[in-house]
This record gives sequence, C-alpha cells and structure tokens, in this order.
Amino acid sequence: MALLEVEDLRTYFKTREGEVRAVDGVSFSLEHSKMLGIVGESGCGKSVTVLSIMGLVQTPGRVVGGSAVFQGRDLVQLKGRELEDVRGHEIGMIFQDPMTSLNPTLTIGTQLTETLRRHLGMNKDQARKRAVELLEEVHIPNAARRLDDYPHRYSGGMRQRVMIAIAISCNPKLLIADEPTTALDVTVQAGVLDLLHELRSIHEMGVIIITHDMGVVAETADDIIVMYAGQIVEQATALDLFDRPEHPYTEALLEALPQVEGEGIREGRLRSISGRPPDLLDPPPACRFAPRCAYAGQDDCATVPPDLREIRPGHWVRSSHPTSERAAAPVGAR
Amino acid sequence: MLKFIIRRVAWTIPVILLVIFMTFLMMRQIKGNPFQVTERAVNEATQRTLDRKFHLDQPWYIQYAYYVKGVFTANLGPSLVQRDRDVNDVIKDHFPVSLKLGGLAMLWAVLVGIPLGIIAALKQNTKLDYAVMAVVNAGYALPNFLIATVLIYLFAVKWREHTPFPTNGWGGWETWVLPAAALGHAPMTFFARIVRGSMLETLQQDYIRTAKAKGLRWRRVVGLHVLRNSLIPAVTAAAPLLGFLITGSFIVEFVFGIPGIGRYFVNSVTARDYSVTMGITILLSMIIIFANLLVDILYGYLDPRTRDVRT
Amino acid sequence: MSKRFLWAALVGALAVTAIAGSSTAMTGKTDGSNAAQVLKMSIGSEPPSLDPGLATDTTSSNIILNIMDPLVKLGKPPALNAVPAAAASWKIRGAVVTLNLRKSVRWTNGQPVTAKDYVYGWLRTISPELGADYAYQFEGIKGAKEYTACDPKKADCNALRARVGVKAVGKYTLRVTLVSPQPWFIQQISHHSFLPQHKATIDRYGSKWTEPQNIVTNGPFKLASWKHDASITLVKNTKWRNAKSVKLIRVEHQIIVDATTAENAFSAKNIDVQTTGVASVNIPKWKKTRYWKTFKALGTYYYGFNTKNIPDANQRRAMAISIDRSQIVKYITKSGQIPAKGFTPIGIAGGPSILSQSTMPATAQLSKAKAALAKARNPKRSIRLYHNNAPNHVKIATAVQNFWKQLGLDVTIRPMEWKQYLQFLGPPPNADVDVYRLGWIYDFPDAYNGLVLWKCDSGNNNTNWCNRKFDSLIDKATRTPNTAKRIALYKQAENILTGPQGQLPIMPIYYYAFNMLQRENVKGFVENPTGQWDLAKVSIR
Ligand SMILES: Nc1ncnc2c1ncn2[C@@H]1O[C@H](COP(=O)(O)OP(=O)(O)OP(=O)(O)O)[C@@H](O)[C@H]1O
Ligand SMILES: [Mg+2]
Repeated sequence: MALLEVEDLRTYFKTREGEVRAVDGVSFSLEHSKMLGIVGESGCGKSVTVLSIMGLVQTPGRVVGGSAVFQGRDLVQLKGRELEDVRGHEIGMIFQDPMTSLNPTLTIGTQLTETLRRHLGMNKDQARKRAVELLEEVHIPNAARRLDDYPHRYSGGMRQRVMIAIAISCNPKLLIADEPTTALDVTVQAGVLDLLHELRSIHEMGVIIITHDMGVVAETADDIIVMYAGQIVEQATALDLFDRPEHPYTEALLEALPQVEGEGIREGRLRSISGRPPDLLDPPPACRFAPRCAYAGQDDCATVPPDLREIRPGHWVRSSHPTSERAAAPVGAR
Repeated sequence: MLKFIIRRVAWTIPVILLVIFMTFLMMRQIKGNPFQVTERAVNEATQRTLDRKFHLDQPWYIQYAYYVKGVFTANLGPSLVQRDRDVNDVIKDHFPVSLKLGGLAMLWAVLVGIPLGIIAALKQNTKLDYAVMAVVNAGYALPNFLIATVLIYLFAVKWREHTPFPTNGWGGWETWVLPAAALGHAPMTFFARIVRGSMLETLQQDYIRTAKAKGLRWRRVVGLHVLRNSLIPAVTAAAPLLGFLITGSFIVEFVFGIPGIGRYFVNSVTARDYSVTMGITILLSMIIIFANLLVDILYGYLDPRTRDVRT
Repeated sequence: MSKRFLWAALVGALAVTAIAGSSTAMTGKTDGSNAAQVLKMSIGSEPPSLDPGLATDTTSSNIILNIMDPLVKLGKPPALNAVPAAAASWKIRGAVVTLNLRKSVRWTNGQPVTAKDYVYGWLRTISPELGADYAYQFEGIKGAKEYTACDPKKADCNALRARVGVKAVGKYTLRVTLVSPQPWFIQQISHHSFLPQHKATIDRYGSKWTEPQNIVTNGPFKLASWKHDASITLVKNTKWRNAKSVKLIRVEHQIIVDATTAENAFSAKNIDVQTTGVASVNIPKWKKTRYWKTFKALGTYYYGFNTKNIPDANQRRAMAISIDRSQIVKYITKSGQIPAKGFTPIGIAGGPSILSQSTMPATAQLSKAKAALAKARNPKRSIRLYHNNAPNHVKIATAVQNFWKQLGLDVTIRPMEWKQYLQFLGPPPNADVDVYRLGWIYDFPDAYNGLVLWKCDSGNNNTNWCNRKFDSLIDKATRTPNTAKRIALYKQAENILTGPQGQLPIMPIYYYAFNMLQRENVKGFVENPTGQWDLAKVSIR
C-alpha cells in the first residue's frame, strides 16, 4: 500500500470575485521512503495541494472534494483533533520562509520541545535533551547553548535547519517541504538540501518537495509532478520526465533551464516562459495551457478538455499533443 | 535590563523637574485669588497675611525654590484653600481610591475586553463576531458619564430591590462594580478592538501555520502562539491607559460621588489651590512616567527582539 | 519569563491595586421605615474646614453649628431675634455687650466652657497669624480691625491684641466692647465664627485639631467620623446640656457634589434629606412630589452697573425696569425665588418697610423704560454683560439680553470662569465691564449686612458708584440701636439705591431660596434664612 494516496483532490477558494479553483482534481500517490517533486509556476496550486493534505487550508479556502489517504486514513475526512494527532507527528512540514515561520516571541527550545511533548509525551527534561540532539542532527553548532535563544538570533539558513529539526522531531513517515530553499541565500541552499537528503535516508521518510527549481528535484526525486493552473499536466519518474518530457509546458520549463551540468543547474528558475498563467477565477474552458501553447489551434484542445492519460507505463500527460505524438515542428511561432 | 531600568528611572528626575516648572508657571498664569471663595471680598489685612503665610508675596523664583525643596523633602505643603489639610494628606486620603478605581477599571477592561476581542477574532465574520463588534463599536462612542448615569439609573435606582449596588459612595465591593464598569468601558472596547485586530493579523502569520502543522492543540496555538503576539499591541497601550484611568477618572468620580484624587485635582484648579494642583500634577506625571517604564519592561518580555536592541 | 508568570504578575498587580487603599465609606441602604433615630442626608460639598475660625461656607457652618453650642440662636423669621443658647442672658449698654454664659455647657472632654474659651477663640480667629476670612465679622469690635491688620515685622501685635474689646470679666461672663452700638451684634454672634475654641486641643494638634480623633466640641452632636470628600458622621452627645430634647442618635452626611447623583441616591432611598440640589431640568418633576421643600433665604441675586461706563441713572433705570423678573423666576430658576423689589431681601426684619418705595418691577415696564432711556444723556447702546459661567447665569443673561434688545440696546454676553471673574470685577472693575452679575447671602439678619456693600470703600462695591449721603446713612445705622429708627435709615439708603429717585448702581433681580428634598418621615428639618439647620430639633417618625 502506498504511503499517501491522493485522489481527485479539489480545493476552492470562495472569494468576492468568485470561486478560485486553486486545486482542481489532483491525484497522485507516494510510496514509503520515496521522494516526490512537485514543480510548476508560481500560483499553480502547489502549496494549496499540500496544505489541503495537511488540513491547513485557510478560509475562504475549502477542500470540496477528493481524498488523501495516508496510511489507510483519509486525512480529508479526519476531524480536527485526529488530524492534529497526525500533523507534526506522522507528517512533518517545512515552509518556504524560515524568517517568518518561527514564532519570534518563543525560544527555539520551546518551539522544538512543544512538539516532542505533545506527540511523544516527553517531560520537560527529556524533551530538552532530545531537542539538543535534534539541533545537533541538523548541524547547529553549540546546540545546547543556543536552545534558549530566540529566533531573531538565528540566521535564515539556521532557522530553516531548526524548522527541519522540528519537522522530523517525531520521526514522521512523511515530510512535506514547500520550497524549502527558495527564500534562502544561494550559498546556504545546497547545505539545506543536502541535509534534507541525509535525513531522509536516515529516517526512511517519504518526502514531497515543492519547488520552482527543476534542478532541485532533478537528481534526487523519484517521481515528479508538473502542475499547471490547479491541475497535474504531467507525471512521471524523474528520469523519464527529464529524458522525454511530453507536455509542451514541461518542455518549456526544461528549456528555460540553463543547460549546465552539476551544481549550476540549481540556479535555474522557471521564469522565462512567455505569457502568464491563467486566471483561476475564470480558467480557459478546456486545456488550461492552450492560450500559451505553441501547438494549440491544430485540434480541438481549446474546446474539449484533454484527459490525463498514460502515454506509456508510468508516464502521464494532459495534452492533446504530447511530444511523442507530434510529427511536425510547431506551426505557429511563439 | 537592570541597567536599562536604572537609566530610565534616572531620566525621570529632569522630566519631573520640568513638569514642576511648567505647572508652576502655568498656575501663575491663570488669574484668580485662591483665598476668595465667594463674592465676599477678602479683607485687605487678611489677604496680606495669607500671601505672607504662603510665600505668595515673594518673587516667583523664590516660590519655586520653596516648592522644589518641598517636593524633594516629600512635603508638598499645605492646601491654600482647605486650610486644615496638607497636600500630603490629600494624596494619602484620595490617591489610593483613584488607584483602586483605575486598577479595577483596568481589570474590567482586560478581563472583558481581551476575551471579547479573542472571541470576535476566532469567530471572524460570523454573527457572533458582528454582534460583539457592534456592541463594542457602539459602546466606544458613548462618553463614560453617560454610561455611568445609565448604569446608576438601571442598577441602583430602577432595579435597586434586586441589585446590591448603591447609587454613589465608595466602600465595599458593591460600590466598586458600577464605577469600574463605567470607567473601564472605553478601554474595554479599546482592548476588544485592538486584540481582535492583532489576533486576525497574527492568525495569518506563517508561524501560526507552523504551529498548526506541528499538530499542537488548538488551545495551545491560540493561547500561546497567537495570544502572545496579539497582546503586544494591547500591552503597549495598556500601561499608559492605566495611567490615564488613574488620572482621568474625575468624571466618574463626580457622578458616583467617589472621593478620588481626580475630583480633587479638578476642584483644586477651579479653587486656585496651587499647592494641591501642583502636588497632584507631580504625582500623576510620575504615574504616567512609571506606566511608560512598565510598558517598556513588559514589552521587552513579550517581544524578545527588542531586548537585544537595547541591552 | 514565561507567559504564565507574566499573567500572574499582571493579575497580581491589579489585585494589589484593588485591595490597596483603606477607605470603607458607609454606603448601606436604608430601609425606608427608619425606626432608629438615624438621619441620612447629602451635603453638596466637602466642608473646607471644621475650624470655626476658618470655615466660610454654609456646608462647614452647618456641621460646626450642630457639633457646637453657639451663644445665641436665631428665632423665627422674619424677626430672627436672638434666643439664648450657650449664653443664658445678655445686657447691652451702648456699645458694650455683656454675656452671661450658662455654667452647664461642657466640652466633650468634660471641662466647662468658660468666657476664656471665647476670648481665646475670637482672638485666634482675628489674629494676623491665622489669616481667617471671617475676621471681617469681628470688625465691629473695638481694636479688632487693627489687630488683624498687624504686620508682626512692623508693629507690636501683642499690644494690639490686648486692646481688642473682648474680655473675660468672670469665669462665665464675657464682655464685648464694640466700636459703635451695633444693634445686630447679638444676632450676629449666632454665626459660627463666634464659637468658643478649645485652646489645649488646638495647641496640641495644630491644623489637625478638627479631625474626629482630636476635636473637642460642646454641642448636641459629636463628630464621629470624617472621611474626606466622602462622608461625615455625627452622633448624639449624651452629655450635652439639653441632650434630653435631642431625638437623633446619629446623622450620616454623604458628600455628594453632583445634583443628579444626589437625586439618584434620594430616589434609591439611600438618603432621607437631600441638600445637594436638584438639576435644573428635574425641578418641575420634583416640585410635583411631596419631597420638595423650599425655604426663603436672606440673599439677593443682582446685576451691577459699572457706573463709569453707564453714568446716566436714567439709562440704568431703563435697563433695570425693562427686565421681566417674574419670567426669570418662573421659567429659569423655577425653585421658589421671588422677584426682587430692591436690594434688601423682603424677608429680613423690617424688609417690607425698607422696600416700601423701591421700584424694581416684577414684570417689565417697557414703555416707562423707553421713556427713561430717552431722558438719558448720551446712552451707551452696546453693552458688555459679564457673568461667571454656570448654566442658570447663562440663561438669565440671555433673557436679559432679549429684554434689553427691546430697548434698542445691543448686548454682548461674556461668560468667565469664577475666580478670574472675581479678579476681573475688582473693585474697581475692568473697564470693559458694563454690567456684571453677582449675588449676596447675608451673614447676619440685619439689612446693614447687605447695604454696607454699597459704601464707597466697600471691597464688594464693584460699581464705581460712590455716594456720601448713602455712606453717612449706613454709618448712622451702626449707631442707632432703636430698631424702628434704624429701619427708617435703611429705607432712606435703599431709596438711594432703588427708590423712585434712586441712583441704581445695581439692579436686583431676585431673592434667593433654599431647596431640598425630604422624605416624609423626617420631622422638623428646616433651613433658616441664613442657611442654617438645627439637627437637635429633627426627628424621624
Ligand atoms: N487565501 C486565498 N484566497 C484566494 N485565492 C487563493 C488564496 N490562497 C491561494 N489562492 C489561490 O490559489 C492558487 C494557488 O496558490 P498556491 O499558494 O498553492 O500557489 P503555489 O503554486 O504554491 O505558488 P508559489 O510558487 O508562489 O508558492 C493561487 O493562484 C491563488 O489564486
Ligand atoms: Mg507556494
């Protein structure tokens, strides 16, 4: 059985202007100890997808449909208290901005130990001892002394390490990292990523990592999901996806990457695709990528929504003209 | 921190000297004879005697010197109008009353206002929120003498058979409730609004999402993570407010017939009772200075970031 | 510092604040039917002083006079004759008054009250050291004025004191020598400033001698407690010479400054007698109840003219008679005031006779007023009217402004804060003043006490008006013991002020009244025309 099985997840925001379909029928599954990468442009619904799984969507958002079965239990259906028992205990989560993700008025120690005491029933001393170990595990120097510091005395990279320490403190089965390095200085990004991989293998966690940065997931993720406008447009193993991208959007993403081998790849960002992502208040009626797609117009993809189909075993794509089915070069220029 | 407190306390000395000086000058600017109470003219001989007795026949700087000396020897001098009382007596008798009234009003404001603000914020955009905020906003606009009058009419006159509250006076707990509520009302609504606002803002913060993602019980998320941060603006406002409540309660004191210092203060100005006016002014400015000091200290505890900046 | 500690500290601090302070005023409610002889009443202010030498106001006076035994009391109005009290009898020979004190009068510490206690008290009150406002009451006594004016640096005050005409000529005999035979003196000593004072207590406690734990008194009640600005409790003095006749065993005064608050306390039955006053808007409501009581006062509410600015008496007359006094008392003051006929209150001994020719009309005489104004040489048509700022003064000034408008005068109203106002009025008044308002409440029940204000050198004559004939009439009155003759002199003086040919430096508006609310079970609570009440005569049914 998969560790996490997400099925047709839908999360809508009821705003004054109308209903924003931020996540619109997302399905995927994650096996134990595997790593899943979710990539896509800003605003395509990556964060909302994982927040929906965690039950952390804020009003006016609401999960309106679908399921997220984690170890046999549908998290979407869980009541508040049961969900609280799962969060931080069996699923750990790390956020994008370490500068704002820690409570500025509480010591690092407090913020670390409260999870331990809450979920593992430790007493104050046990929790403190464990907290020191955790800080050492995430390579914070002088861990014991720094336990009583407030977050403002920690640098950004250190704070993200603390966040990681908190997330893994209860030995979760699943770690969700929502753009863990985006807000960090380039010089510390690699360190944090390396730490994540190191811990993942030690603790045998399943990991979902969200990123703008294809490079981040290229070498490490097992599977990759590409999201566009609230939907999955392509899903495959990392190798297959990088080797033979099928969706025109994925192609564009990869083209936008500087083709440099090694470390340099990580600096590539998904920013240079022309056109803007659609307004989720009023998305294009059929294929949501159509307005930006170089191949749209050849068929009815602008009127009949394409399905997510398995183009070859383990490789899913939502497009009427995936690469492997395209004969000729694109007609229209970009 | 200690160094910081000592430095702040030391700073109050020149501030108080300035307060004395300014009050002194201003009191001399207001015309009026402290010794003439009714239209009956004061005997010339009597006037001369009194001026001599209270040094009013001396140049102003001599009077000022007398006064400063008095302040620093904790003797604020005799009242010019209530001739058998000293300013020290007046303060000793009436300040504790105002302190208690202000403290109770503050307690009322905190104990009612903060929970109301929290409830409204947690139930944002529900009927409960609208109801609470409607009451709070309507109440904010009402001046406290009006509230006092309505409270007295309802609880002490109309329903007097069913409530223990007297119309006026100051004694047991039953005499405290209505005045504290009347005086505490405005700060109560103030707390409710400020706490609601900052709660809503805090609830949106990333670290609250973190706290939730950690699986903390909702009680702890709100009670520790949200509240601690939301209370910073409330605390910042609270201490000067306490000063204001102690010093600004004279209307409520008038309406409820409470022998507090506020009433005395106002009366002393109309009576030109210089020594009483100045004595109370100095006392009240000290309270406000102290209240601000308290805010800074409290603020430091609530928001650790500021601590590093200053020490 | 943990959050819990922070809260504990905050709550703790507030709790300490709440518990701190030691006042435990009495505020219990009375159950309407008060079998016990306990009177609960409100008074309108904290008595500024309970020292007979220093007190100057009626609130203090009424407390003092009920814990002390004055030499004489005033009888029934309008005569208000002196009735023996602590003095059993007296003899008047020209300017010398000899008082025989009752031997039964005792201080609360058991010592007898002797003539020496009076000599000490009076001399203390007029001494240059004390600076008592009411030293002026003693000016009729030989040598008193000189002693009060003594500057210890420039003169031998002890010698001046020895010359003051107050002597103990026996243990119980007090002899007073006046500068002239002032026939009202025997009534005047009903005033609290003529009470005896207990030297040993004053020497021992200084300015704190009037506190309940220190004070030594000699009257029907004792000062049991004085919570400043909150309450004053008197208890019956069972050792008083006439304690048998005193019904009340306790009198609780609540100090309530605000009229509405006092009305509420009365409505809630927390007090039986409400002397604080009633808010103007509520007067009609209370008047309809049986609680409302009105007592005539010896006092006059008047407007004064700055005769430098309005020199022609014709104009002053025009202004004085164009005012509708009955409308003012009916629609503005509303509580038992009477339109003034002249300056002397009608209720004073001989009042009707003194005022028989006075010309202030109750209703406006507009055509006569216009005629008078026409006779005025160079009348001042733009008038600046000053008053001290209080609701009723504003309303009256506005009414007067309208009355004078009909005369073609343009009136600007200038309200001022009380103390600044008093200073502004001088005398002499600020040149900007054309008309001002003031009032006068009599300290003793003789027309002299009011008319003397209008002498040239009077400290209360803010009109710039000076009339030698008037002055000589007033001076002559001080030497005229015969009541009928004296009243004739007052009539002449009053005519100079408000008679048909009068000079009208002032225009009286109405005579004051005292008001209070009394529950029906209170018996014998009356306020005499000088504002005094005698609790020894009050009982609860
Ligand atoms: N509170 C909200 N109210 C209305 N719409 C919202 C709200 N939060 C998110 N959305 C919508 O959901 C969409 C997806 O947001 P989400 O935060 O998941 O994007 P993302 O893919 O994580 O982008 P990024 O890379 O910038 O983090 C957004 O386009 C936005 O329109
Ligand atoms: Mg995101």
